[in-house]
Amino acid sequence: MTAEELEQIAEDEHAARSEFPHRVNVCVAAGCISCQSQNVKDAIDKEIAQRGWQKKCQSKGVGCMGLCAEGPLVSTGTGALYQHVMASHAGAILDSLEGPAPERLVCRTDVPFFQRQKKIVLENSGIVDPERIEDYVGSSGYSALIRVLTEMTPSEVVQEVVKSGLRGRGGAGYPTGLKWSTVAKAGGAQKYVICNADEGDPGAFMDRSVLESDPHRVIEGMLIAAYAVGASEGYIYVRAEYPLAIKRLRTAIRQAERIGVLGASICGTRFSFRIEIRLGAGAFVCGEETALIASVEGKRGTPRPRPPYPAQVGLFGEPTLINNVETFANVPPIIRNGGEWYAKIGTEKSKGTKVFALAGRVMNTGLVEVPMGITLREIVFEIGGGIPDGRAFKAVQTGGPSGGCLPSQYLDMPVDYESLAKAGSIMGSGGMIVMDDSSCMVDVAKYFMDFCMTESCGKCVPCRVGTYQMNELLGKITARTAEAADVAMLEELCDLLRNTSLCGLGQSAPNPVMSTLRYFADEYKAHIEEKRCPAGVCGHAAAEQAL
Amino acid sequence: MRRRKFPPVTAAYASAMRSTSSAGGLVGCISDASIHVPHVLSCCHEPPPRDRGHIPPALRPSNLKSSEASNGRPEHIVNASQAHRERLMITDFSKPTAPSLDKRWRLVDATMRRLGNHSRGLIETLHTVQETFGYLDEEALRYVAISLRVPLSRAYGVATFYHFFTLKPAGKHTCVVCMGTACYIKGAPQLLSTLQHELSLNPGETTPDGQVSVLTARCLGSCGLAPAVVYDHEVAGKVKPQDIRERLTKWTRHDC
Repeated sequence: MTAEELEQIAEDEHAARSEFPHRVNVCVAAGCISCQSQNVKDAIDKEIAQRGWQKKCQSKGVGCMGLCAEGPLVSTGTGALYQHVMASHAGAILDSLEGPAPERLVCRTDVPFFQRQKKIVLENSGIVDPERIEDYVGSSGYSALIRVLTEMTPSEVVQEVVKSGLRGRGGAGYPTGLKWSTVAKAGGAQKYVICNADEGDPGAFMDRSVLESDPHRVIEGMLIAAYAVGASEGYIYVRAEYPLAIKRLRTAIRQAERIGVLGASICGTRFSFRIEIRLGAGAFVCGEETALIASVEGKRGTPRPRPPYPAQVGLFGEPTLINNVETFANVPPIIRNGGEWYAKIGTEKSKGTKVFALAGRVMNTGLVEVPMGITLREIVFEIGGGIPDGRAFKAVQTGGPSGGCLPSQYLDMPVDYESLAKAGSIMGSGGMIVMDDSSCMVDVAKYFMDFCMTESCGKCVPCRVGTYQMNELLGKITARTAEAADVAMLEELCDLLRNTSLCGLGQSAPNPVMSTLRYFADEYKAHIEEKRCPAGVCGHAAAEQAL
Repeated sequence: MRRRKFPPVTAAYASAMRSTSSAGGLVGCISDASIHVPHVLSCCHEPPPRDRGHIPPALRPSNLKSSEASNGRPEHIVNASQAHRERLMITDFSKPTAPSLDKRWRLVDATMRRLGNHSRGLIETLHTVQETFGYLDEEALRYVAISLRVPLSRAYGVATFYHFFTLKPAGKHTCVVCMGTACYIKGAPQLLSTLQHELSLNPGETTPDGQVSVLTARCLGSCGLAPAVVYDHEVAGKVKPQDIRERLTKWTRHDC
């Protein structure tokens, strides 16, 4: 594969596309698939065949269009978007290509949900077919790889990423360029690149969507990273709970190997890189990098103390670069457009965009990509469309079990790594759950503590025992048998866990409790002193049985 | 991939591990194995020493004809190739046989072969076993442990550490309730209590007739469709307790 050959593929793809006057794209990402979008696609294909439009209208399955709650979504070449499409609507959709649009299916795209987003990571989602490499190449795919291999030295690539100011999108926000240069400088003949796709946070589905909608972009990002740090083998550690993402990744790897952008002597250079997929098996702690490495090695996923960091001693004892899916997905556009271009987006310390999985008690649930520095209010009330059923906003939870719940006074706070940390939450991987007044914050804190307790690997005592004790105390509070001393004990345990746990899971496990204690102290007080739950959740038989 | 060269499983080691299968539980068998072959416990991270006694006499280096053995090449190259040949031969003769003639074991073997029969392929292999057989039983764990040269304790440890693996077969139908945050605040606990009430069992259990298993998931990633439930591998979104009752009636009525 040379640059010319790749260009040829892109040209052929453009020519093939322009042959069709009409296009119909059906979302075949997991959200819409579970609303039977595959049937919709089959029905549209059948209708095209029946009308003899095979040369007139191209139909393809594409990745996530964002508005998952209104699926199945269908878009056309005319720029229209249709929601809640059923197989029986196939005829109406095709009619709309040359006639009036079916009013009841139209989904307006001039609303803030679509207008306020800035798509970098998701630029191809909903546009390219995730199962065809040609489609990706036709959308300037793998051009960044070619550029890196033919025009840049590894250190120039690292410099470009440093210049972009990209920070790890997995949660902690470690500067990506710094990590790359550490691995690049590390000695050792064999280095590894690992893509962390073990998206364990409940309520987060960004990585899944990126893998299902645009798997080649992640592969390209890994290839560039491997070239920059001098690695020749890579692993994608993906949750076994994401069968569609795994299937599409496997297809993508096969296709990339076929056209020669993956494998030995890529593009005729001496650079070789292979990628293997490793399946996670449902352990939240495996999102922690040292635990993930243990899991890739076929062991129980228990973390180990750092240093040495994986950048020096990682997989099989060799220097290893671990980045999140979204981080890798940001790399090809940074190389294509330059680090300065990327650094112009976002805030001073948090550059670029962030993909959030907006869910919970909000009108528009789905996937949104926004520039860093946007306020929570814009995300929840403009893009998200506010709270349904006329209820009142209570909190927004970011960062999953490691994050915190932010009340309405923080709605005007800009979303970036530092501000969120200052407010007692974290950016996390990008789950954003909106809660209204029907949620009890003590119950939510208990939910997350129960999660951390179950997911604790059991290696260090503070986490193993501390999460259990905290869960018991929270259980007492929700059962309304607690006393004021229990809250003091809870606070003490928060401090203990935070300072003495071995890994990020234990250190951040108290965050939901601390943030709710800080912002919703009155709810704790009502449970303890007045023996009542203001939201009427605790004491509900179902809620108690579930935990 | 750079692979460390491990000596192969010997027939003695394999048969010793097999002979313990009559012992009761998993724990019992580990201690049993240690009686027969002490290195099972002592060499947790090291493979058993190679037993040359099991090379067929004709293939032993000393019995090879000089033309076969040297062929005019320098001695260290000859030795290297002989060592290589030895290794291959022993593996061929001592590969543990699958627990049964079930063709599904071939898939398991294929996975292990793809990963170089190396212990680092343990999780991948267990995934294949679970995918093909539906769950991991003692026999499967034992076979995988012997084949990958890991102590049974480690295979059992991995199988029980990860939530995705199950040691019990699931019912004919499965109903997985997502307990992710979005589903939780949108009513997943009520769905779960409906199931518990209708079937009188706890999450993770199967009805006594083996018809329905109730499971919970950490997060399906279908947060846009919260609350979500997976009925027999098919995701359903915005589920209400009534939908669950209907589905349960359908399953029991049609007996499908």
